[in-house]
Amino acid sequence: MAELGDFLLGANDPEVERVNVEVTMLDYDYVSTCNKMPELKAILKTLKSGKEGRYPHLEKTIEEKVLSMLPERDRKKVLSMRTEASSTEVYDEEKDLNDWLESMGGESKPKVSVPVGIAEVLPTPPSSSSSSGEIFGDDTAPPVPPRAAVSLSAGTRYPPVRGSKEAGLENARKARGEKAPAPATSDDGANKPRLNKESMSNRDYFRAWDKFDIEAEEKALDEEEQEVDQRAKQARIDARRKEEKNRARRQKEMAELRGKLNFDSMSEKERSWMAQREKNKGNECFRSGENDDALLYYSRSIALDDSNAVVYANRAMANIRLNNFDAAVSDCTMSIAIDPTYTKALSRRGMVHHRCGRYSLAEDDFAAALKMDPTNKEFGALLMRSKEKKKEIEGEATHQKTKKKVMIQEVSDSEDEDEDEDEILELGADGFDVSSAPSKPLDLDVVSNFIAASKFKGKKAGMVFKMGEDGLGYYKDEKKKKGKKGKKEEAKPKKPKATFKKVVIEESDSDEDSSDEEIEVKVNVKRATGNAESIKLKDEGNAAMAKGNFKEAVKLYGDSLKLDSNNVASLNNRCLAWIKLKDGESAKKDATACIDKSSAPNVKAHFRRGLAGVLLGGEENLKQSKRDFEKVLELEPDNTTAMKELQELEVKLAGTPIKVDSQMEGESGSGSNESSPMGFTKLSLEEVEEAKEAQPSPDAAKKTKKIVIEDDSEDEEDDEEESNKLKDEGNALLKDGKSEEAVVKYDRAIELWSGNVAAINNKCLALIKSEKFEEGEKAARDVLKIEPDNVKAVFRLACSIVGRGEKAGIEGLREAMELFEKSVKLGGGGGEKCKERVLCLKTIAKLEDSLKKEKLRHMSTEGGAGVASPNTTPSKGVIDRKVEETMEKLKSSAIKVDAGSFGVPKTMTEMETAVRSLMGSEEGKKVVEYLWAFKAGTWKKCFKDSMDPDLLGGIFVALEKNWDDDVERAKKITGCIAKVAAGLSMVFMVMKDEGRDSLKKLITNVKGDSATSKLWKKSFKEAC
Amino acid sequence: MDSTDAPQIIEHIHKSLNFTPYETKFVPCSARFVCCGISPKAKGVLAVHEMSKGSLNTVGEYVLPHGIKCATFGASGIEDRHLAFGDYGGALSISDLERPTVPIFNVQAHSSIINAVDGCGGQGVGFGAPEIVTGGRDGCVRVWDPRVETPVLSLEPEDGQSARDCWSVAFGNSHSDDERVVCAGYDNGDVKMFDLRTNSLRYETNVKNGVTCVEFDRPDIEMNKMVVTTLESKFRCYDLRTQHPEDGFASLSERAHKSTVWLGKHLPQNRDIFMTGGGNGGFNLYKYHYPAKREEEHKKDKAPVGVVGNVELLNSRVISTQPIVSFDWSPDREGLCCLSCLDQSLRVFIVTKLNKY
Repeated sequence: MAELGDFLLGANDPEVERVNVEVTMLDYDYVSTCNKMPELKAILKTLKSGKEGRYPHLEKTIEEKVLSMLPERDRKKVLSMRTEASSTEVYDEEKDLNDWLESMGGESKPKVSVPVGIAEVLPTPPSSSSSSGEIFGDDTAPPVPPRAAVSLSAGTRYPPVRGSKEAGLENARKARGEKAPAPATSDDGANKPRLNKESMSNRDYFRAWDKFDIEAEEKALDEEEQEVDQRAKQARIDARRKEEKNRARRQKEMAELRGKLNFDSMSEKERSWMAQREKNKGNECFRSGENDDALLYYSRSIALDDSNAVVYANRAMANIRLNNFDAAVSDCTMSIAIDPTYTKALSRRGMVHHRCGRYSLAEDDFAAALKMDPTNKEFGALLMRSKEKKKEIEGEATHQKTKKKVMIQEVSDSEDEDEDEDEILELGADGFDVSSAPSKPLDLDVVSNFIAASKFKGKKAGMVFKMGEDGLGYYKDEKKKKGKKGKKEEAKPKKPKATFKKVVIEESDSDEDSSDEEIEVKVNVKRATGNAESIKLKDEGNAAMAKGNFKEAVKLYGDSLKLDSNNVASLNNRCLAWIKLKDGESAKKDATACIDKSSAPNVKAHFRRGLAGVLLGGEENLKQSKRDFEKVLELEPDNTTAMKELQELEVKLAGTPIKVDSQMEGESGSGSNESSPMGFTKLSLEEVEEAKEAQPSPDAAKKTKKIVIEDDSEDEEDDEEESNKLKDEGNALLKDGKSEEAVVKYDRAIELWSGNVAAINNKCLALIKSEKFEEGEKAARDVLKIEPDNVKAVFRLACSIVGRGEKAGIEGLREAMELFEKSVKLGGGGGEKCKERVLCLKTIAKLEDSLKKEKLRHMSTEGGAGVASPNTTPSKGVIDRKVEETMEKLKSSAIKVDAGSFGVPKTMTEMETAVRSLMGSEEGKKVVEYLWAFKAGTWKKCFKDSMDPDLLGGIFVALEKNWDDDVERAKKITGCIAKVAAGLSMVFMVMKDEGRDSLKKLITNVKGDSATSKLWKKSFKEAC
Repeated sequence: MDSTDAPQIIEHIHKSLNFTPYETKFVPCSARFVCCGISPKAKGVLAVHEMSKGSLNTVGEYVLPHGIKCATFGASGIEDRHLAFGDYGGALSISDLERPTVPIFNVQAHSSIINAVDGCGGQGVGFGAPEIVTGGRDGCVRVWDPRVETPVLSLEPEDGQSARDCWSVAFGNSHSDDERVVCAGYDNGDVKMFDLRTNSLRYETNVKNGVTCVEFDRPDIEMNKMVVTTLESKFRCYDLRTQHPEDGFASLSERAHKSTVWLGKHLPQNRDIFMTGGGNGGFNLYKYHYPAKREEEHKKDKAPVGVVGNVELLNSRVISTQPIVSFDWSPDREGLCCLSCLDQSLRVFIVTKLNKY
C-alpha cells in the first residue's frame, strides 16, 4: 500500500516547488497554525525526502492536516485510494473474471494432455503428441505444423518487405555465388543514428568571446530571424498539408472500406477482435475530441463486424458532433434495428430529430425509450421538451418575429446542453460496453450480416441499404423523408433562424465602425431589435461612403438619424463623411453628439473630433484636438495612428508662435523630417484618402497594423505587404553589404507603413553599418517608441551610442551600458541561451575598452592641462575613480550574469557541470559567485564523496585567489564546505596538490580568527 | 467502503517461480499468458500459464539455450499468436507456442544480449508489414521482417564511438501501410525516433537518465502520446501530435516510485490510462489529461508547437520489496493484468472501475 503522503503530494505542483522550506517550519506549532496548502505540502515533501531527518509522527500530523483541508471531493478520492477494496467488491470482480474465463472457453478444453514439464533443449524435434490448440486454449489454432513465421493466408494481405528491392538484389547476388555483405552494413549511412554530440569545451566557450565579431553576428542574427520566419511558415504549411492529407486519407479509406477489408482472409474471431479494437480507438478519439478519426475507427469497426449496436450508436454520436445529422439518424436506426432494447440509440435519434426541428419524430423516439426504461428521468424530461416545442410550433402563429428569434436560439442552446449531458453519459456507459461486449455471442457471420442488412428494406419499413458515397453501413430513413409533417416542421424554424443571423451579420459586416469596436457592436446588437429602418438607411449611407459619394452618404445618415436619433453609428459615420467633405464644423458637432450619446467612451468619435479640430485649425481647436487624441491614446495605448496624429499636432502647436513647448521642440528635432504643419495636413488627408477606398476601413487597417506590431503575423493589407516587400528587398541589399541602398528601401517601407517595426529596426542596423550612428540612434529610438521592450532596438541603440564613441562622452556610454543591461534583462527572460545576450556582454567588454580609451584621453588631456595648472589633479582622480568604478561594475555584472545563469543546483552532477564550465576564466571569480548563491541545504546535497576531486581542488584555488575581493564571502563559503567536509574524506585523499596548497593557504588566511582556524584545521585534516 | 470511485487494485493470483522472470505477456484472445526469464543455470525458461478460478495452471514450461529477456506477440496475427523473443545470446526467435523449442524463425540479431523487442503490424489490417524491432547491448537497433532473415533496417552507433546500451524499443505511428516509426531509448538518456517511411531520424532528445522503457500509447494510430520512463524515479509524457522544427515535442516530467521507474504500460482499452512499475516494488496508475488546446503558436517563430497536458495519479500500491520488471494488460479484458517481480513471483491483478475514466 502506498503511503498517504504520496497521494496528497500527487503531481509536481509549481506552487509547492516555489516554497522555500526552512528548518523552523518543521515544527508542530508552526504546522498547526499554518493554513497555506502549498506550504504544508512543501513541508511534507521536505520531511518525506529525509533531508532533514525522519519524523514520522510530524509527517502523519501534517498529512492529517492536509487531508482535512482538502475539498470534499478530493478528500474522498484520497481516502478511497487509501482503502483496500472491500470483500464484496473483490468477490464481484473475481466472479466477473471467472465468468469471463469461462466464456473464453479455456475451461472446456482438456488440460495439458501430455506432461510437458521440461522439454529438451534444442534441437530435438517436438514431441508429436502435443496436440494442437492446447496452448491457445481454443480451437482456432492453425493446424500443425505452421512452418512459416507469417502464415500464408496472412502473407497475401501484407505489404511487401521493407526495402524488398534490396532483398531482391541480395537474392540475385546469392545466386551468383557472391558473398552477401554483412546484414548490418547493408544499409547506407543515412540509416545510422547520428551519435556525435556538439561538444565544446568550456575553455573554448570563453575564448570564443574574444573572437566575437559583432557585425557578423548581427548579420547572422538577422538572417537567422528571416530563416526562422521562413521555417515557421514552412511548418505552418506542413501542418496544413498534413491535415489535408489525413483528411484525404480518411475519406479515401471511408470510400474503400469495404473493398479494402479482405473478409475471406480473416476468421470470424479475428474480425470481431479487431472490430473491438477499432471501437476502442474510436472511443479514445471521441473522448479527446478527434471526431473525424473517431468516425473512421467506428466505421472500420462496423465494416469488420456490424452486429454491435453500441458501435453504431457511438458512430451516431460522432456524426452528431460533426453535424452529419442524416448519417446520425441512419446510425441510430441501425443500432435500434440490431438491438431494439438499446434505449440510448433511441434517445439519441430523438435528440437529432429534435435538433433538426422534427419534434413529432423526436417525441416518438423519446416515448419509445421511456417505455422501455420508465425510470429514466432524463428521457421523461426530453419527451416533455419535445412535446412543448411541438405545441409551440403548431399552436402559435408565426407572425411575431422577435419571439421566434429568441426561441430558435433557445432551442439550439438547450440542445447543446443535451448533447453534452449525453456525451458524459456516453462515456460512462461506453467503457462498460467495452468490457461486456466480448462475452456477447457473435453468432452471425459478417457477410450474412450484410445480406441481412439489405433485407431490412423488406423487414422494416423505410430502411434502405445504401452503398453510395457515404460509405459502408449508412442507411437512409425513408420514413423521415416521407413524413410530411416532419419536413414541414423542419423548414419552418430554419427560416427565421437564417434571417436573424443574416441581420446580425450584415450589421457587423457593412457597418464601417463596428468592425473593430466592441462597444459599438454591442450598441448595434442592442438596437438590432429596434429601428430596422434606421439601420437600413445607415447601411445605404455606408454603401454611398464606399462609393465615395459623401454628400449622398451625409444625407442618408441624416435620414437614418431622423428615424432613430440614438443611432450612434450613423452619427459617427456621418462625422467621417463630413471630415471627408472637409466640413470640420459639422464633423465636430456630430462627433461631440456621438461622444455624448454613447454610454462608454467612444474612441472613434474622439479621434474623429480630433481630426475635425485639425481641419478647422485655430489654436483652441487644435488644443481640443490634442485633448481628444490624448483621450484616444488613453483608451487605446497601442493606437499608433492616433499617436502619430498627436505627435504631428504637437509639432503644429509648437510651431504656432503663441505657445512653444521646449520639450516638444526637442522631440521634433529627433523626430521625423517632414514635421511641418503642411506635412501634417497632407498626412491626415492621406488618411482620409485611404478611407475613401473604404473596403478596408481606416479603423480596420489600424487594427491590422496593431496586430502586426503585436505579433508580427501575416498581414493582408496591400500597403503593409508592399512595405514588407520593400523591407525584404532592403534585407537582401543589406546582406550584400549595400547598406546605404538598403536604407533607402527601408525608408520607403517605413513611409508606406509607419508601424513596420522590423523595417525601422533594420534601417537602424543599416545605418550603424554605414557608420551613421546618430541617425541609427534616432531610428532605434523610433522603434522603442512603438515597442519599448524591443530587445534588438535597445541593443542597437546602445551600439549606435557606442559607435559614436568619443563623441558620445562618458554620459552617453553610461546610458549605453544601462541599455545593454536592459537588453540582457529582456533577452535573458527565458533563461535560455540568447544570442543577443552574448552579444551584449561582448559589447560591454568593448565598451570597457572604449572607457579605457576615455580614461586615457582624459589622462592625456589632464596631463596636458596639468602642466598649465596643477590644481586640476583632484578632478582627474575623481574621473579616474569613476571610470574604474564603471569598469568594475561592468566586470562584476558580466560575472554575475554568467554565474547566475546556472542557478542553484539540485544535484551534484548539476553543480559539477556548472563549476566545470565556470572554472578557468576570471580566475575563478565566477565559481565564487556561483557558490555564493547556494542555499543552506545545497551544500550537503552537492558536496558528496563521489564528487570530482579536481573540481573541489579548483574551488579551493578559486576561493584562495579571490580571498581578498570579499574576505567574508570567501570565509563563509569555505566554512560551508568545512561543515560538509566529513563526507568528503575520499575526495580529499585524491585531491591534487594544487587544491591542497590553496586549502592550506586558506587556513593560514584565517589565522587571526583562532576558532575558525581550529575548526577548519579539524575539518580539513584529511586534506592537509 | 464501497462508495468511492477510485480504481481499486485487487490481487487475484500470486505464484512463486523457480527462475528469474523478465517478461510476461498475455496471449491475445485467451486467458493465458507467457512468462519468460532465466533459470539459475542461465538457461532460458518459457512458461505458459492459464488462469482458472483464482489459480494458475502451468500449461507448458520449456527450457531454451539462453535466458530470455524480452518477448512480444505484436508482429503476429491473432490466429497464429507466434511469440517473438530475444535472448541473452543475441538471438531473435519466433516460435509457435505449441513447440517453442523449435523456432520457426531464428537469427543472430545482435552480438550480445537483446534488451528489448517490440512487434507491429501482425494484428491489423492496412497497418503495414509485420515487423519486429530489437534493441541490444551492442547499441544497435534492428528492424526485422519475419519473411526475410536479414534486418530490413539497422541503426548502429557510428564507428569509433562507444556504443550505448539500447534498453528499450517501440513501434508507433503505424496507422497506414507506409507510416511507421521506431523509438529507441538508451542507457545514457538518449531517445531517438526514427521514421521508417522517410528513413530519417525524426526526433532526438536526451532525458538525462537511462531510458528503461518507451511506449507509444497506441502503435497503430497516428502517433499521439509516448511515455518514457527513466532511472532516478522519473518518467516523461510526450505529446506527439505536433512537432516543432526546433523544440521538437512537448513533454512533461513526473517523479514516481522514489527509485527507477522500470516500465510504463498503456491500457489497451483506453490509451490515456497507463501504469508505471517501479524499483520500489510498487505500481502507479495514471491518467493523462489533454490540455484545452493541443497545439499553439510558438512564442518566437509562430510555428505550431504541441502543448502537453497533465497526469493524474489514480491509485498506487507497493506489492513487493523488489522491482516490478514486467507488466502486461490483458488485451481482452479491461483491468486484468499480469506482472512479475524480481522476488521471483508472478502475480495477476484486477484493476477495477477503469471504465469510469
